[in-house]
Amino acid sequence: MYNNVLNLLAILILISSFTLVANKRQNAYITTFRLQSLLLALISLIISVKSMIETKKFDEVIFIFLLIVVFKVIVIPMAMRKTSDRVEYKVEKDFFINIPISMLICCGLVVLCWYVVHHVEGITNPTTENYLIYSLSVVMIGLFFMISRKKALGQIIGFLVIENGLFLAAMMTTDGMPMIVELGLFFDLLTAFLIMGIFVFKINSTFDSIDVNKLKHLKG
Amino acid sequence: MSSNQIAVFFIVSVILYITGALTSLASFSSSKWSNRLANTFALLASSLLTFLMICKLIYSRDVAININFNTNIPFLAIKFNIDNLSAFFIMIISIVAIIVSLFSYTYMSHYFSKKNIAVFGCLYNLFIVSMVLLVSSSNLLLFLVFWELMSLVSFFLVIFEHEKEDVQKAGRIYIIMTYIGTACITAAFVLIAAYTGSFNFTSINLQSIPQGAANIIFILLLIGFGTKAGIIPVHIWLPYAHPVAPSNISALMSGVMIKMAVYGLIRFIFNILPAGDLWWGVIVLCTGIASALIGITYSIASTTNIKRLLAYSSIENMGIILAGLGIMLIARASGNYFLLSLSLTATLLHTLNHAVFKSLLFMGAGAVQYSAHTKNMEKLGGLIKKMPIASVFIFIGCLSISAVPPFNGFISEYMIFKMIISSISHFAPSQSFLLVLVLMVAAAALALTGALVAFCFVKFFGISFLGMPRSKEAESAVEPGKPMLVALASAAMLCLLLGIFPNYAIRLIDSVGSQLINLKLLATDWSQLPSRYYPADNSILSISSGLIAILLVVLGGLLLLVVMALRKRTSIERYNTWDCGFTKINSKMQYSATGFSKSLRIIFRGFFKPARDLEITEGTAPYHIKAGRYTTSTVKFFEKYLYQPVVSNIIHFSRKIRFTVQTGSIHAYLMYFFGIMVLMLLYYSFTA
Amino acid sequence: MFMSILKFIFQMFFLLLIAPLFTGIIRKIKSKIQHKIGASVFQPYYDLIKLLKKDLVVSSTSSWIYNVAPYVYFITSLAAVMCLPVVYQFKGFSFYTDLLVIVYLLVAGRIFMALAGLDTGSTFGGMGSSRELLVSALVEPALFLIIITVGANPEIASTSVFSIYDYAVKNSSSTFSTINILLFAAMLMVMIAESSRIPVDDPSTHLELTMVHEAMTLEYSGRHLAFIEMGTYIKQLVFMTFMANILIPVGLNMENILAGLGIYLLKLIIITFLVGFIEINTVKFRLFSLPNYAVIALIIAVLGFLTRFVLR
Repeated sequence: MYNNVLNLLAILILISSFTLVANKRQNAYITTFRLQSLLLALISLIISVKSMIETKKFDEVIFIFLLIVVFKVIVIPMAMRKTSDRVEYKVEKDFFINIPISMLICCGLVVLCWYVVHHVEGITNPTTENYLIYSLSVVMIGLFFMISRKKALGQIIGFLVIENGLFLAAMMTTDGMPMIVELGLFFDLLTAFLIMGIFVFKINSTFDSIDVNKLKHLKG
Repeated sequence: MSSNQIAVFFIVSVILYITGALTSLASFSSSKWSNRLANTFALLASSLLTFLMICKLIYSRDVAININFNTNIPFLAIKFNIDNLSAFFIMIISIVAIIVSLFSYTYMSHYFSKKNIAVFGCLYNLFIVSMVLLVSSSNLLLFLVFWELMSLVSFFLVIFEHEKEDVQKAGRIYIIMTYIGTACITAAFVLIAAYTGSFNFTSINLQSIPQGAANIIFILLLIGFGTKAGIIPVHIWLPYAHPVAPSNISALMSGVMIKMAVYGLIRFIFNILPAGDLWWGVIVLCTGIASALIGITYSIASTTNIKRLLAYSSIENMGIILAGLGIMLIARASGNYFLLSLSLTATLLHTLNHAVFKSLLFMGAGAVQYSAHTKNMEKLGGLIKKMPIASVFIFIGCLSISAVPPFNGFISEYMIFKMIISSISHFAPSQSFLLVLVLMVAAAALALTGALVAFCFVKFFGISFLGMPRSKEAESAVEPGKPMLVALASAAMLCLLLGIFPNYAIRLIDSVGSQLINLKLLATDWSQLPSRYYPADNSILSISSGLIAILLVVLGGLLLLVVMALRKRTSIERYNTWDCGFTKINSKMQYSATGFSKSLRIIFRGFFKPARDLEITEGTAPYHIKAGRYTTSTVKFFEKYLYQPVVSNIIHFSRKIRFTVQTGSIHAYLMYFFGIMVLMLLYYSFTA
Repeated sequence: MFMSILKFIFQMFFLLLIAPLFTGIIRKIKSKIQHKIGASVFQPYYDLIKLLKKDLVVSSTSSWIYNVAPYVYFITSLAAVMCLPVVYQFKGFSFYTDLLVIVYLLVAGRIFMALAGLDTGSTFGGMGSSRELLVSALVEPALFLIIITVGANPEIASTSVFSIYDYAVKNSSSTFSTINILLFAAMLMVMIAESSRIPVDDPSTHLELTMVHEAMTLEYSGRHLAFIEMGTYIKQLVFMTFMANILIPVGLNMENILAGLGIYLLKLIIITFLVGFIEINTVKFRLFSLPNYAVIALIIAVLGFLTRFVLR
């Protein structure tokens, strides 16, 4: 039962990344990301509750749940929404590769990840192998998303999705990393997000657009 | 003194250096005080260290001094181990540091209120302490840390007058070359650690390095340390960096810092790597000889800057030291212990001697620059009358470096030749023709080098100190202050003492040898050993320069009596130099430094490619010349034919890259990232 | 001990006495071949005595180096000749009787003379110094190779004059071996260059621009000049003695010192004749063909080296 729920949630996260790639509008990116983070938070909640029930001891993973909810579900999406509202909105094609082909490439990535993880020695548990495939796929799709999107917001979301993938891998395979590592990762993420947010404004004010492709012109 | 006491005092002196650095920084408001504090602490610490190390070398030669600190950082153990080799090099560092610190008291005063003396004093102390700790560290990583510290601090000292353009250029070349060298050293260390599984000198297991890897490590170390030593063709930073640095720094750099490369080579190639093939030594010998010969021709023919001349001469001397090291390696590979100990003694003795006379000469150049405000020989002249005392000491430096008996350069050059003769007589019967030929060429090249050194320093001293002053600056030069004279005098004294009593220095080197190659050079009775290896004249030093000095003095005294007798009957008249019956000779008619060295440029024209350009502004008639401008130039061979092609290719390549790979598009960069990740995953899954 | 020192000092004075003679002989030979009467062979002695008596003119630009140089030059040359085995050997001097020491002593004298040339501020002086140093630098490799070929012989393996001399005495039978002839030829060329003779330099030239050694000493007069001349004569004797006693090891170690001296003198006079004939049959080379001259000397020395160590 427990494993089935977790497996379902993990698959949902993978599907949410596919959804992200299929999205056309910036606001839809943010919503999808929020959804994905919520799923991640649910996973952490389930893991922590289960370990608390089993060991009858307080588990720190519950803090991770809180952190994810507060930052990834509420704060960061809100800030992003604000950012996208504040920069001038232009309707223009945001992707280099059209959506169907992107989806196909993403499928290819999942196959690649399956192929790779299958060759990893020492994974005896088939469920762990599955989780690893899902999370590695999420990471790769996030990276691909960053490449395929023109506007700066796409890069931020892609980065955050990579982060989610890493979290997923860490949590599913180890039942939660040490608190200090998690905190460090979170801190890193927030800083990166802040810097990127500032960059978006700067790019916008320089080029009247947040199309990062225009950064080419900065080259001497 | 017990090893514990030495260890404690060693730490005390390191603390003194650091205190010097800090107090100098703390008293930044007064240049005078920060200069005083920095030099006083350096002086104290160096005196203490000199005393300690001489004690160590004489009285506790069989113990090694260990100082360990525990760290949590993996691989990096803070382990210092002062064996006799380290002690010998620390002694060199601290002797030179004493003299240079004395010199700096006055010398730095002309930077007061112009530059930040506090930072200089801090860097100065750090520079010395980094070298001291470098030679005493016994962990590869620790060695690298101090090596980097030394390089970086010396870089900042070189660019002390960073507002000048030539200083910036020199700094740039220096830092690039330094990093090329450091990269090679790091690679070599990583290889050593990979094969032996340890970063500590003591636990490095020689047998675990296979011969092929040892060859690669040897080449890497030779290039890496060779860059610091300034051997041809990786010497190019030296003639730029030395002239622009403040003279006390050039004295330290040339006297000591480049010797760190000698230390590194001896420590790693000789002490840590297993005995290689004969060709290791042959390569080192050949590069050494080439550096010596090319260095000295450059020194004569291509510059009129006194400090650049000295820098090239350092290249030459490092070449000679390297040649000694080459013979050491050859001797080790062929198992000739007499030759080994002779070459070890000659090499280390020349290292010590060069440190002393080269720092004397650089300080002399500094004194010239301090009082005549120019480094250009064509503007100097007649200084022997303006600064009579300083010029005597500088003259002694010139005599020492030209190997005039009984000064110290003579002894080490004599031993270098003796070493070559011993090696020829050893290898000639064993049918190793090629090696004998190489040794023959080496001997001939060293002989030419020796004669050219005399040429070079006659030019150095004759043009800048003798004759008439060639400019107003030279005419208004004055004797430098007392501390400067004391520094010059003590260095000159040391040149003379090391020349007259070389046996004391050889005794110190004996301690090094007894630990390094397990042979007491002096105590061994060579005649007891199989005669194949040991020639009839089986002593390390069969001549006595002290007695030569006495003989010369006695002959001089006798001659003086004769001259006194003759003097009564004749008179001396002072009159103008002969002017062919025309107007009185002026300073422009004197032979110039460029003219003095012209014949050599013409003889080596294939190498220097001398060019001249005469511009004449004609007046009313073709023969009525209003003005003329004559310029000569030489080609910097290695820069033009070795470095320039490489640099221009790199620039060309980068230009191309800019349009194809470095597009500036974030997506492209992400794409590379993505592509590499996919490739790596694929690679992993295929190999797994 | 006392007797041996006395013999040694006697020998030293003897060398001092005969040194100028050979220059006189060379001049006489040249004159005879040109069908001139020529000055007496003792003319160099008369010149020296006259110079010692004359007053000195010292350039007002010069410093102490100018005044010291002639004496240093003289002393180093004298010390060099004392190193060499002539007839009597004083073993007490083994602390410095070394071929390398001879070379370095000569270098010392040369450095002082070259500096003195620059000290007067005269163009000729500087030019002379530069050329003198160049010439000696060019022949230095040949000189060292000769010394190494002699000294690195595995049976000697030393540059100590005594070991070399003892070896020469032992092997007097191989006097006219190929090695010795080659080394002799190379040494003759080195000697001509070092003692400033035709074809490298013309000691009797009257044009400052072609001078080498004479240009360097142009400003000197009186006893300064006398000591420089004497130094040059002695320097010439150093090379001649080397050739006579080490490269032609005939009649060495005679019981009778006077007979030994006679043989020694005879050998020197033969060498002098050789030098005289070379002078009469060649012209002075241009400065920039001197590298060729030096390379020829070097190659002959290399051949000697190879014959000894490689082509056995």
